[in-house]
Amino acid sequence: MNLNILNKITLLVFSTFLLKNFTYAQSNLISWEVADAEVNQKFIEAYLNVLIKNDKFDNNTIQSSDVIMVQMEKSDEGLSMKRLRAKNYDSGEFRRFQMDQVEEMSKSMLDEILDRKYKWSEITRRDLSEFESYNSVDNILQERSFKRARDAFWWSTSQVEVSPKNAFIRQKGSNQAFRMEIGMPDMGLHRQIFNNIILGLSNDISSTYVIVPQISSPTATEDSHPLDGTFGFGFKFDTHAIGGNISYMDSGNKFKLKGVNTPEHMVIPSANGLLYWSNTFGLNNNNFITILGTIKDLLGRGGGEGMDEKDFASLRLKVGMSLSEFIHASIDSTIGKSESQNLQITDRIIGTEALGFFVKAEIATDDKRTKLYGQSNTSFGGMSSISFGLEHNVYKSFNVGFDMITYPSGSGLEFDTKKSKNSSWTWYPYGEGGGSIFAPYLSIHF
Amino acid sequence: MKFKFLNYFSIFLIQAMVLGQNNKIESLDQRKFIAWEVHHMPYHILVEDAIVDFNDLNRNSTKVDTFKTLKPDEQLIIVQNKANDTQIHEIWYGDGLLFTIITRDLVDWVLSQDIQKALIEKDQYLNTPSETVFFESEGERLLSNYSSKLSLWQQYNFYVSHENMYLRSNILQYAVNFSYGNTLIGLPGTLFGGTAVGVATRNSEIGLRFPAAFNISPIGALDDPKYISSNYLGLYSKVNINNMFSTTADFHAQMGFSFFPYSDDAAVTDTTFFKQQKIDPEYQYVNIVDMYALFAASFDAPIKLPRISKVTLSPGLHYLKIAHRTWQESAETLLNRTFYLDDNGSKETFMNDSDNSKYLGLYTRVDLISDLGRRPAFFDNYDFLDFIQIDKAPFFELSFQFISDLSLIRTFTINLRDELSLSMTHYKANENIKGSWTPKSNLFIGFKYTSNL
Repeated sequence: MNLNILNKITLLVFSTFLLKNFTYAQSNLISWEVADAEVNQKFIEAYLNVLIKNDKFDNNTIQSSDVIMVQMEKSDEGLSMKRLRAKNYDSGEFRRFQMDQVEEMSKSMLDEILDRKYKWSEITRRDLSEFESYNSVDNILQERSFKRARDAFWWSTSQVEVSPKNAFIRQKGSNQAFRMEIGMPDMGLHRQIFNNIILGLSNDISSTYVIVPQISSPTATEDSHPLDGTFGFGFKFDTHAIGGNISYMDSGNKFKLKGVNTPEHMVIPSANGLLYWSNTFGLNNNNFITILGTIKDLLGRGGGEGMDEKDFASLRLKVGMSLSEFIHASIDSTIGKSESQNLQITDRIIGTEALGFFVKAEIATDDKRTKLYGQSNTSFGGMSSISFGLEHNVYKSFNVGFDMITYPSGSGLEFDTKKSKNSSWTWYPYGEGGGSIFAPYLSIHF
Repeated sequence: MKFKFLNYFSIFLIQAMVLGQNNKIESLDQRKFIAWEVHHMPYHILVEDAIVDFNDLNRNSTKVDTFKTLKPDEQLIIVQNKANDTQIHEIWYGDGLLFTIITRDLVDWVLSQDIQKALIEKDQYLNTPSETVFFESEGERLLSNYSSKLSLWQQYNFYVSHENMYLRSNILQYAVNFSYGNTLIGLPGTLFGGTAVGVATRNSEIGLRFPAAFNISPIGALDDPKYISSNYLGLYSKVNINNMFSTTADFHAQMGFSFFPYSDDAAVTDTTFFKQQKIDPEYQYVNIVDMYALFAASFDAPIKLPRISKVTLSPGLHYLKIAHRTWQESAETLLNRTFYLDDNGSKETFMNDSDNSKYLGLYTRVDLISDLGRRPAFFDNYDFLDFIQIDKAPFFELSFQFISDLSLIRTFTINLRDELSLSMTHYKANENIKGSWTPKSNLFIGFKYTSNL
């Protein structure tokens, strides 16, 4: 065996052994800071009295205003005190107790400190370095709760929120709300191409809604047209790790000519489902220092070293799969506009072609003033869209924002239409050549 | 001898105190307190670890009791006094049936000030309001937690029955649910038309309907090819909203649908097509669940009945759409079918010559359960009935479910043990149902076994 490889393996085994022992040692330590001022003072004063009594006070640095920090070690024999320190918060200095003098204090006094039957606090990561250990609690408390990012998009941070995209009314002090939404943006069916209204009852985690059809405005290009819809139901839910959506519109419902865009080519997303996995991350200045540094390096200038690494926003990533059944149908355009009639279904997209991918990144700042997102939907059937949006609080209850939705060239769905002259017909949400929709809006929050 | 007696007496007292602390439950006044359940896993872990540390520090203490450890899948409920929103009043944790309470005076000892501050800021992490702490007695709590038929989250992390198999994670707050029947929507056994496999949370479930049917019930096999077909993939979802608008009523909704191929060939309108095309009898009358939906609210009725501890009413709306088709094997096409044969063999058409049947009806369900942990007194006179031993489960449960224009389902369940029950379900279809896609009546013998893995 090559000596280098042998050395590397030895090093790896040794490192693993050390790491394992280190981790094991850390999990056997309990560390805390005494947060009860009375307990702190009582113990330190008793300690100082012992020092005075034994004529050891000259070497003392501990003051009665210091805060005691304790570290205990768990072993097979039980718990034992490993370290005892006093921290002076004014100077940031750590001071050691003279342990031979601590042992001369009354046992009940020391037990009172070690039993931890008083208010106590976690020791910060920085302070724990004094104990030559680390603090995972500190990390967990700083871990981003996905709720901040989730509230900005799935739920709401306001009691009332109204915009051209949605409306949200929440009971005060409750986690239940009425919500109204236009389109199905998670499915890539944005309100500009799918104008159905979703009216629902929601709580923090789940939502149930009815779908109410509404005629969509014609899109900009001649070879495109918006989707049609009908009455239906739907549910959606969102937890910290998974979320989803399922909806159904009954194509067996009656349709009226006055309620559709193009009677000979109606496209309806009759049934669809989405299941996604998500995770939330903190965004700190360091992410931007790196980007800024790279840009400045390229420009030959200095980096952004002056910025600290404090988190200022939450980034939530969602990745999932969707299943969407689209129907191509027509109705008779020769009869009265208000007369109800059945759909003549010509084709429906099911199976592999109905499968799709969903990716979305959502960012919400900690001050809740700004949120932005980027989203991509792609299906095996050929329909894809990319969207980006930004919303910012400009004055008190007023937010302004915009959505930018792009349908790439060729994005559409091909249907078999035996009844028409051609055997197939392709639905393009924004024309064969694709295009982008820029939609600014104003949002009001109370 | 005296020393031994004192020793044993002390141990008894300590055990009584520990048990008392873990199980004695006092209700709180809903006007004075608010409570919420923590769903943010990192905070759950912090409390789990804090309890372990507290126990380690007090392992040898005679002055303070140690606490039962908090398991990853257990509920963690924070209680706050409305008059003091800066501190935690109590912490409750448990499996939904039995709770351990960390009282106000011990909260500061168990949890650091930092963790308490994080837990109090409930707007910063995922949580749901909890009613658990407000029940007036442990009996009420046990009753309320005794698995509601509309509940998506079960008290046990494993159960198997003639309609479901449920596996809940011991580490994550998720479960996997396999359903091969769904009595709640009026489609028991293989009438459900497939096997639904989904991921469940406390308030939601979403998944796929797979084209496979299982009949686990020893009686009640439904093998007539006219009955609901199990050959088509679909999606389904369920949602619960508990304590809707603080009314104590729980909202439950579920829906599902199937994806099946479409043909714009002429619809099959009579049996001559079967003869001409030599359609196999198995494929002549294919019926598919196109879509089902149920919206119901469930609440405990203030009705007192002898030997009945709880009456739950669940009114709602139900919708079912059945697609009628014929499978032409030679062309591999699923053709629309607008007719059926009645009991006399005469040809009839569906309403408006349609190729589907829609049932929009009122949904009414009544569940009655007997007293928890009490079997009939006369059982004590017969030794051979000693195998029936119940502690947390009712001896019997009765369910009546009526869906207008569709079906009446009655279920009688006997719990032999807390974890094992046998049931008998009688299904009776509405006489006006056309197309023979369901039996007129059927008897299902079922079972349910629960366990904590």
